Amino acid sequence: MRLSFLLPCFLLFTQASYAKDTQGNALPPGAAVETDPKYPPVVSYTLKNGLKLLILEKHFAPTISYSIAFKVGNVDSPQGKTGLPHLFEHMAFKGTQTINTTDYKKEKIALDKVEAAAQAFIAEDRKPDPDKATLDALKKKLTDAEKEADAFIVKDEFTQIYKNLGENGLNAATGYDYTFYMISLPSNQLETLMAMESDRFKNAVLREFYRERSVVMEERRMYEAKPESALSEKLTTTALEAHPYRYPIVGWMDDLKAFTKTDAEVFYRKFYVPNNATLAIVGDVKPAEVIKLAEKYFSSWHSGQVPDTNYTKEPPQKSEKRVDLFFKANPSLRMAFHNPGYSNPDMYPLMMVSEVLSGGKTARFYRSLVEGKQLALYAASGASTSSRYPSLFIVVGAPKAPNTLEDLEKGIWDEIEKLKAEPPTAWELERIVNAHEAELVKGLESSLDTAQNLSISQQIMGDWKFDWDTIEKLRKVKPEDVSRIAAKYLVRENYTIGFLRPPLAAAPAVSKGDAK
Amino acid sequence: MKNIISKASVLGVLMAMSLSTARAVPLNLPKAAPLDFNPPKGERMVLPNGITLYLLNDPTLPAVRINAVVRTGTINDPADKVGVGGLTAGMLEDGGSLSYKPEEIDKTLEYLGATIHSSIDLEDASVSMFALKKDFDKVLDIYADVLMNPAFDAEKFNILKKMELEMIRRRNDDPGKAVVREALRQYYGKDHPYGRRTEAAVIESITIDDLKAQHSAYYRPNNVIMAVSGNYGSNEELVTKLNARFGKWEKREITPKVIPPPALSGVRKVFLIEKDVPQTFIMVVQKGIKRSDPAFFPLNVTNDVLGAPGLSSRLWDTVRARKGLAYTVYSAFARRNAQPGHMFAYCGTKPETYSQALEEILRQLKRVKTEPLSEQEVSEARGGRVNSFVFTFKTPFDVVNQRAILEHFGLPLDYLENYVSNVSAVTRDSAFAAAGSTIDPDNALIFVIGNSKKFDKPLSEFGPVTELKED
Repeated sequence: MRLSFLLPCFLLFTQASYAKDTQGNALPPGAAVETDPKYPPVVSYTLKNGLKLLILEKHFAPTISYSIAFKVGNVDSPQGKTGLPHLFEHMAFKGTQTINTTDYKKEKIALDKVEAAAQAFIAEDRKPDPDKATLDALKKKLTDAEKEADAFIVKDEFTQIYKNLGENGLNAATGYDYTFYMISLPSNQLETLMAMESDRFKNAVLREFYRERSVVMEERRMYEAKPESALSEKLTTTALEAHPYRYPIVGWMDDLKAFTKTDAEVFYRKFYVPNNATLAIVGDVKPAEVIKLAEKYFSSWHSGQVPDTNYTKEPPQKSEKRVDLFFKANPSLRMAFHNPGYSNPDMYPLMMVSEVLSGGKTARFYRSLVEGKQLALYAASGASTSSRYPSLFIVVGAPKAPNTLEDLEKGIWDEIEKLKAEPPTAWELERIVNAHEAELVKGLESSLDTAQNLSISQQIMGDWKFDWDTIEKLRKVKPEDVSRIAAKYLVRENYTIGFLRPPLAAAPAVSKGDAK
Repeated sequence: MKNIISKASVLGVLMAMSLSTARAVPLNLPKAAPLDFNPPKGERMVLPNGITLYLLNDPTLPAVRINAVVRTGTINDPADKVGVGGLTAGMLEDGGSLSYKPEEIDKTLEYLGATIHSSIDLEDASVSMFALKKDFDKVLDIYADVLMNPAFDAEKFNILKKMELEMIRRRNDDPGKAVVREALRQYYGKDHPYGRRTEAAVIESITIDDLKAQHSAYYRPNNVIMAVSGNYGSNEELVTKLNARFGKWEKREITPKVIPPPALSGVRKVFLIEKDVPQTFIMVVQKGIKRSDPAFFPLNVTNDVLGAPGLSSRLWDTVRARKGLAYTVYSAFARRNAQPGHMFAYCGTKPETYSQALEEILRQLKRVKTEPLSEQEVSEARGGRVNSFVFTFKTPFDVVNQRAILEHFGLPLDYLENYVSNVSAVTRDSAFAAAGSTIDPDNALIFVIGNSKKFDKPLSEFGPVTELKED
């Protein structure tokens, strides 16, 4: 887990001599270029503060794509503060001590006033029986303080600078396991990118925190209005009982109302340290130049002790769990089985299980459930919902009328049992490996996707080569392994199913009770 | 070109600096060196059978991509067969071909990690393929047969129709999507080709012969612009391969369908679908432009300032960042229409504050109509567009595919060459003139799906309300 302590050792092994990039230019000491042709020629380098750099040259267009991944996600939310990592991600677009502000010194005083007012309001609001008049008065104080702080704001300057420079794909995302930030720019803006991004993470100022919290509450309402999101949240919280993967990434509405900017700052200082991050640049660059600029802009970012992340382990389920979510939409279902996590070699046959069932039109769900029996509009599976800890093997599906949820559930189980009883063919497994190989080539077409993949694989899976090495592991899986692993994990005592179905009609009382 | 880009980049930084005085980092933002960039064009040629071809060889990855842009679209669906274009496109992908059974195609493609996709939009259709270099010939054989000789397998057709019926059954499950479709349907009229939707009874009535007629009418070599990129060897080799496969594909005279311009009411109308959902979904729809309209560039710049999707604009600033009323808020205009299309603003917000969000959207629409953008806004929007132009050429496939699409839409062949100068020519005045003649919130159509019992103001304050049932 503590990559910062491991990585210097790792580099002692790889930096045998001064490496050269693909153009034959010398790279600085400590940099290594991948020469095995089965991988792309990625240059890697680690700053003294632990920030890992990955660089891949692509010279077709004069563009650069950047992704920085932090090993912090919703799984790391403090107790009672679900959604804090995601809200922080939003805050990382709000500028620094020099961007989005006309005068940070004066602004800081105003921001402290906002925070005091917000904390007073939240404290009253969290009381079992808050006083309406007091709340209104405290709310007004908060609004007034926010207006005062507004005087120092340069609206959306951080994002506007990028827009002016011609950004493409500026965005960020928070998952259970990680948070990443990305952007593409014309390649002549490499140094500006490094200046902006280093400032962003060294000197973040969480201005307009409580407004952005309202934005995130709207984001939550948007998910609540979507049947698939609502069912996903219900199933995850039902299947998982103890591990923090059970909490929604966007956060519970009540937690969103309760946490403060101070909470977010504490979180930021703990997790947003260079030794918890990997920065990837893909595009029209010279690796030596990227390293030089990274040293210039990022080396003054202080490393820190990344908090202990040994969270409560999920206990064995030992039960079948079934839940109905009433929702005004057509029926759909979602199933979950606990998987053993990527540190367990069973994960690879389990990935094969998922692909045999649902990886395309030749896969079993499509052939049998969508086309053969025509039970389903769609049916698909995925071997994991996250990667740092054991998570969930998922099946989703929607019945095609007049078939019912129960019909589809049975149809899916029939396919699962068939796979347990009879190993898949060699053709099915070869098809999966070939598809993964093609996906890797496709992935390299987009610089931004590549940067994202490299940074996340390195920071979360411990190696940017993760996807390439996965193919080798999948290739070794034998047909009988697939059946054995299906029989081990896809079982009733490890099973949770959620049905999304229309609310029970307020039917006239012709119930069993009346019949008596 | 390269000079324009580099100057504009420096300009972008300078403008950011001019905003205020106390900003160490932007002041230190390094000056950008000039970009050395001549956008690759690819080669354009016309094959003997009439296929227009854009080619760009790219040896960096072991794969080939092809996209055939077909001059058709759902606007060609006869009034009593709405959905036939979609089913035809779907059956190209699923229904097999003269020499290949559907299962054989699926098995071959999936075993090779290759794909063939077929889709249709209002005024274009697309049949594309991806193959690893080593499998190119084999996949190209299938692709050509699918495009020229689809078999429309009866069993697959039956399945596809039932899937389509199930999608119709489910079309209101996500109110955020339903509001867009229903708003445009009201705006253009339920029978106008830009506004109509598929209906179950019509889908039921469509036959394989209808699909064959559609294919025969529009999927013809002289009606196709094909973009090819990747590691296919020399252009000569590729052309030989294409001629060998497509050489017998017969030309046919095609009269492009001209649809009537939408008849607009020109008055404010408000529609409500009552639904108990956590957010209220709002569409504000008003008239737009034809794709050939010279107001395209100034209107683009105006919309960049007003509300184009992204992380900074007036709508973003007022509705989202400063007031926290929405997660999603943006404005956009239809840019692929031969006839005048529409412009719209979209927002999802809680019912208790919906009126604040809607008022702010209407205010911002009105503002760009009544008051010129600032000099700084115009020059930033222009600069941003010019600087981001390099992303038009991100990959070899982007280069040829967009040339194919631009030609399909009848835009000048030097559209990309003149793009930067056209954007650079936008002034405060031209942006204001374009906004003045297009943007018209007073007469916009407002469409809302939400729980009106929780609304902070009656919807009728925004105009005469027609309540509709979800169907």
